[in-house]
Amino acid sequence: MTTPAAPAISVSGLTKKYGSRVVVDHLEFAVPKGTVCGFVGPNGAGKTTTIRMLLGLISSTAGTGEVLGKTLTHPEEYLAQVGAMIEGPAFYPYLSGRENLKVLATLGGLSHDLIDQLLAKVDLLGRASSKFKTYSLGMKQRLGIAAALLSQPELLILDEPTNGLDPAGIHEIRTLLRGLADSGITVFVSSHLLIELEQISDYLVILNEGKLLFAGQTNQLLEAQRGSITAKAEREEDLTTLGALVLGLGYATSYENGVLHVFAPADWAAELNRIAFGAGIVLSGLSTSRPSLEDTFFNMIGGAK
Amino acid sequence: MIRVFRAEWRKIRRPSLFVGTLLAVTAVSALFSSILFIMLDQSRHGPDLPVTRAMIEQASGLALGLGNGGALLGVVAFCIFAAQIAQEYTLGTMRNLLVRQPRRLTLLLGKYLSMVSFAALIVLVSAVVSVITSYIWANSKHISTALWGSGSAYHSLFLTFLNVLIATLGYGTIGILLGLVLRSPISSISIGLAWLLIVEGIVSSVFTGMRGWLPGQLLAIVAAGGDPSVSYSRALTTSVGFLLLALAAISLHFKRRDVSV
Repeated sequence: MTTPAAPAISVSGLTKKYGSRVVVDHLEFAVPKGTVCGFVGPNGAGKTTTIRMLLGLISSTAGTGEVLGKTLTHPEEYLAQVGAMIEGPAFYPYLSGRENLKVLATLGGLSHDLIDQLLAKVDLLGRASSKFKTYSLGMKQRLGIAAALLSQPELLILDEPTNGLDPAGIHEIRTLLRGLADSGITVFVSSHLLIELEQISDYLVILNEGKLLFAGQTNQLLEAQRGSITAKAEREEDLTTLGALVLGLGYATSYENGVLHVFAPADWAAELNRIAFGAGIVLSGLSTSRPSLEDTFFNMIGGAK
Repeated sequence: MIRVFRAEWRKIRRPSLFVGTLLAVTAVSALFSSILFIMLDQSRHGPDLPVTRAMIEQASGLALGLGNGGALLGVVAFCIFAAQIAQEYTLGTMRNLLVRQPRRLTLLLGKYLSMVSFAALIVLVSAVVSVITSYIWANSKHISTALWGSGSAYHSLFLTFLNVLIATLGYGTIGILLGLVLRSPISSISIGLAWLLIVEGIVSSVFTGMRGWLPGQLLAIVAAGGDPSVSYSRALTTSVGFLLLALAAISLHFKRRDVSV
C-alpha cells in the first residue's frame, strides 16, 4: 500500500478580511503534487489575495495552510522552492530583461548560468539586452514566466500568465506548463482563459466572491455535469416519436432545426440508439457533447448568485 | 543580506542614476565650494559675511567647501532613498523581491546598506571635488594653503566628512520612511521636501526654540558641525535618537504591513 504524497498546497479555513469586508472566506482545498491546478474565478473572487497569502505577501486573518509541507506563517522555509508571477510581470523598466533576471538571481542566491537558457526557452534571448520598457506585453509576460522558473521551482504559481499573449504564445505557454507538470513540477495557475485551463488542468479550484465552489479533479467536475446527446433521424417527423419515448424514461429533451437534444449522460447514447431501432426509427446522426469548463463555470457562478 | 546588497547595486549602478548623480554632485560641490571664494571678494562690501579670508587660510579652511554643500547632499540622498524604496511599490517589484527574499528585515537592511554605501560614495566624491576646487580657487586668489597639508587640516576634513555623512544618512533615512509609508516616489519626495525645506524653515523661524527638535534642522546643524542656537553634541544626540526611532518604525512597518500592490 502506498501513502499518497503530501499535497503541494493545502489550506484550511483560510480567510482574509479587510475591515468588515471578507475577501477570502474559509477556503479549504489541497492541490496534489505534480499536477497542473487551474485556479478559476471571476474578477474579485479572491484569487490574487489567496495567491498573495500563499506567497507570504499578505497575512491571513484566520485559517492555516501549508505549501510544500511548510506552514504559511514561515514563507522563508518554502519560497526558495517556489517560482511565482503575481498580477502580471513587474520589472525595472530601465534594466534589460537579462539584467532584471540577474537582480532576482542575485537576490535569491541563484546561478546566473540558467538565465540565458530560460530566456531562450521563452523566446526572448534575441531581445535579452533590450530594456524592459521596450518590450511588448507578450514579451513582458514571457519574461515573468522566465523569472518564475529561475529558482528551478518545485511549485510554480502563476497569476494570469497568458494575459496579452497571442494565440501562438498562449499555445506555447500551455505546452510549457504541461511539460513542467509532466516533469514533476506542480503548477498552480489562475487564468480567465477557461478553454486553455480545461486543456491543461488536472485539478481545479473554483472561487466566487471569496468562497470555494469546487476543488477537485477536472474530469470529476466535468463528468458530473449534465451532458447532452444529439440525434438526427432519416425522417425528421420520427424525432417527435423518439422524443416522447425518451421523455417517458425521465430524460428532458428539446427539439429544434430538425435535431433532437436529449439531456442525458454521454454513455446513454447507445441506449438511445437501441430505443430508436426498437421503434423502427433510423437515426442518421448521433453525437454526444460534454459541457465545457466555461459552461460549467458559468453554471456554477450563476448558481452561486 | 550580502545578496540583497549586491542585487540592489545592480540597480544603483545604472548610468542614469549612478553617473547622473555623481555628475550632479560633482557640479554642485564645485559650485558650493566656489561660492565661498567668490563671496570673499565681496567681503569688502559686506561686513556680515560668514567666511573670511583668515578663516579659509586656517587648517579647517580645507573642509569649508564640503560643509557648505553638506545639506544639499542630504537632499540628494533623501530623494534617492525615497525613490529607490517607493518605486518598488509603484513598479510592483516589491512582491518579486519578497518572493526571492521573504525575510523582510534582511531585505530592508540589505537595501538600506546598499543605499548607505551609495550615499557614502556621494559624500566622498563631494569631499574630493570640494578639496580640489578649494585648491584651485586658493591658488587663483592667492590664499595661503600652508596649513591645509597639516594633520589638523586632515582631521578637520575627516570630521566634516563624518558630519556630512551622518546628516546625509539621516535625510536618506527620512526618505526611506516616507517611501515605505507613502509607496509613491512623487508623493514621498514632494511631501518630504516640502516639510524639510519649507515647513521646518517657517516653524524654526517663528518658534526659535523648536529648531532643536526638528529633524531636518538638526541634521543641517550636524552637517555644519554645530550652530550658535543648538550645540553640535545636542544636535547629534537628538538626531541619532530620531534616526533610531525612524529605523525602528520602518522595520516594524515593513515587517508587518501587507504587500498588496
